[in-house]
Amino acid sequence: MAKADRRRRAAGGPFFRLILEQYSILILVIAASAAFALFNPRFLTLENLINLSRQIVPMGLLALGASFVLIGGNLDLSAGVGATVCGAALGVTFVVTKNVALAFLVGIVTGLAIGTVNALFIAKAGFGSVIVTLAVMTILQGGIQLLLAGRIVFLSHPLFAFISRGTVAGIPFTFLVLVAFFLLAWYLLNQTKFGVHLYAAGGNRRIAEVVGIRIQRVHFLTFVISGLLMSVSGIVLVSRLALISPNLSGFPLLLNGVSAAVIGGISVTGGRGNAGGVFLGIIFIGVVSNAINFLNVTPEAQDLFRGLLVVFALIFQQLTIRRRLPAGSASGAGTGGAAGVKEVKGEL
Amino acid sequence: MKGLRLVIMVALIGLVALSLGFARGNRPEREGTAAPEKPVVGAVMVDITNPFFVQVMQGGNTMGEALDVEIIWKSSEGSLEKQLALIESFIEQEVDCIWVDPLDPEAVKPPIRKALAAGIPTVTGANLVEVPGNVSTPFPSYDAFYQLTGMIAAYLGNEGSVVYMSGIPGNWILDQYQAGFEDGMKRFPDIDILSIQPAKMDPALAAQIMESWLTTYPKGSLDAVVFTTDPDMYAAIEAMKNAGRAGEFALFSQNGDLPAVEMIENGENGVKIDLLSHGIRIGAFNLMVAARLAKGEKFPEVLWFQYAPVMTEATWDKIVAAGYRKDVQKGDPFSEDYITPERAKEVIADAASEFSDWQPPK
Repeated sequence: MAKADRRRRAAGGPFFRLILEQYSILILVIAASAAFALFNPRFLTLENLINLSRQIVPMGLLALGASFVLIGGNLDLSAGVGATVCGAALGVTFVVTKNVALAFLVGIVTGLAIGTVNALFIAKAGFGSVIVTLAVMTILQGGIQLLLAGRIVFLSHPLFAFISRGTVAGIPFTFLVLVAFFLLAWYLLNQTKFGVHLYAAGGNRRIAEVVGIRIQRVHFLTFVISGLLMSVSGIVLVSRLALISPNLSGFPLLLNGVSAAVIGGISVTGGRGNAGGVFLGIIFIGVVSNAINFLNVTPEAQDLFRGLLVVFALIFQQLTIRRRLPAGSASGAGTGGAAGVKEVKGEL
Repeated sequence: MKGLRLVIMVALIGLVALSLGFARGNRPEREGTAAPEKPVVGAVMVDITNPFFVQVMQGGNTMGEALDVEIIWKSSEGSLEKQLALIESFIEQEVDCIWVDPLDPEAVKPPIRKALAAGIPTVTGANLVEVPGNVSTPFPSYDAFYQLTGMIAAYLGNEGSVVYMSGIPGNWILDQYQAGFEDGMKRFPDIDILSIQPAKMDPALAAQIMESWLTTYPKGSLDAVVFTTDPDMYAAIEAMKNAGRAGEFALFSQNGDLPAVEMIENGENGVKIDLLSHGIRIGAFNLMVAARLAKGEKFPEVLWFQYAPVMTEATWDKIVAAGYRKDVQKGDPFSEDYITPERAKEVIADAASEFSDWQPPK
């Protein structure tokens, strides 16, 4: 008991620990932003914050899709390239037909199709998610080359311009779309049976099956959701740039999205995490990427700088999450079966 | 579930067979389809997905038709091991010439020597690969951007602030552009380089960098933006438009893409000078060298591929009046002092005619 007391006093007391555990990611974001603003005060100007809110949208949508898949205990490596394929499909359709509504429909349907293909292979046929989505990613990379034949295609339509730079009450439209999707995700994860089943399926598949949860259906839906979100991400991306190019950032987008999800508290082993944490995670990643340009970090050091910050954030976040877990529950992955499901839901 | 897996496996086998059939239709094969007299050039590219390399292939194919040679295109997919293996494969196939775009000019030396020992002439594009008998067609990238800085400085009246959007750190050609830019700018102490950021040839990153610069440097504090490649410039222009600042700066770039050339011609978005390299020209030039080597002709071991600065006559007059003079360092990077956008469009459209009667400088 004395040892525990000493540890608590050394950690600054129970109130400080509580703040750290519940708001670790928010503390990270604020601390990072304050630090970067010290080096360049223009970092925290309204103009830059608006830029940042636009920049995080494509990555944020992918992070949200990745979260659903990760909570279910899987991984979708095809999301980044999938987003660029959806954007390319939209762009090519628009250029050929001049019909923007049809182009958007094709973009969305492409994402849903990719998600459904992943879902069929993984959820229905039982293949591993890493290898399937890796293979799908490779196929999509080839597909985009065939589709574009190395060309850059320019997009010009008022709707793309609105998506790119439109605002509602001064807030970028795309950021509002991101927030809307996050609110929807929060609802799905916290207020629906699907959310409970998803956490259970990711936390302990065997127990979830025993209690009657339809694991296949749950996993199927997560990949379809990921497909939908990759299509919206691709639409936002190509609208922002007003062009489609074979060089569009597919894999870096995925890497940043998954990093944001994990920093936001999503467990890579499944069964844990929440939408709010992911939202803060994407803000953190966005702040770091934005700051690299603002701080004029030399080109040679940029990847090192970004990598070190992400590792620091992961360690910081993991240390605080470990403190939150009940004794004997090292991974927090709901090992208590139904009790574990309740515990996981209680964290939300 | 087992039944579904079986169906999926059969469908996949069918798809693979289909894709093989489709792929074979796009690549000429030597055995059984080629006329025996037609020389065959084996071309090993860094990749074939980047728009630049697609242009290279277009130019190569056009020149190949003009010179009546067959080309087998292969992609290294950015992998050095794969590139070396592809060269070895072409040696085994006994092609008439091997054209390589090396990922590493040192690492390709052993297979190049092996090819030459087997009696197969070699061309190494974009890099200087010093192997006796090998023909290198390097880009004078350092010199090109060194000269460009002289043009930029003259355009700005030898004072002002510029930013530079570089390429992929570690890529030799792109690093040479940056080195030429930095060294060239040292000649003009009243021009400040405010920032150098790598866009890594990613338009999304280019847009993000431009947004940061627009926020960091308010109106009046930045005079010019220099790009390594045109696609980065297009994305950056979109960011400028979003911020309501398109046309505020003078823009300078490299590639000579048609949209960029038209922006210069029409006075749009502040684009002033674009160094015409263009994948189509590069492909046509290298294939011309490879085809003529395959037919037994001899060339000097270094043939510098030359750029052409695209600008309007008004811009040329302005920079000359401001004191611009060519200051050659390692080699003259330009085929002409400048070319107009109209001429640039003709050159891009008909690269085969530009090089079909080309002779090496004496």
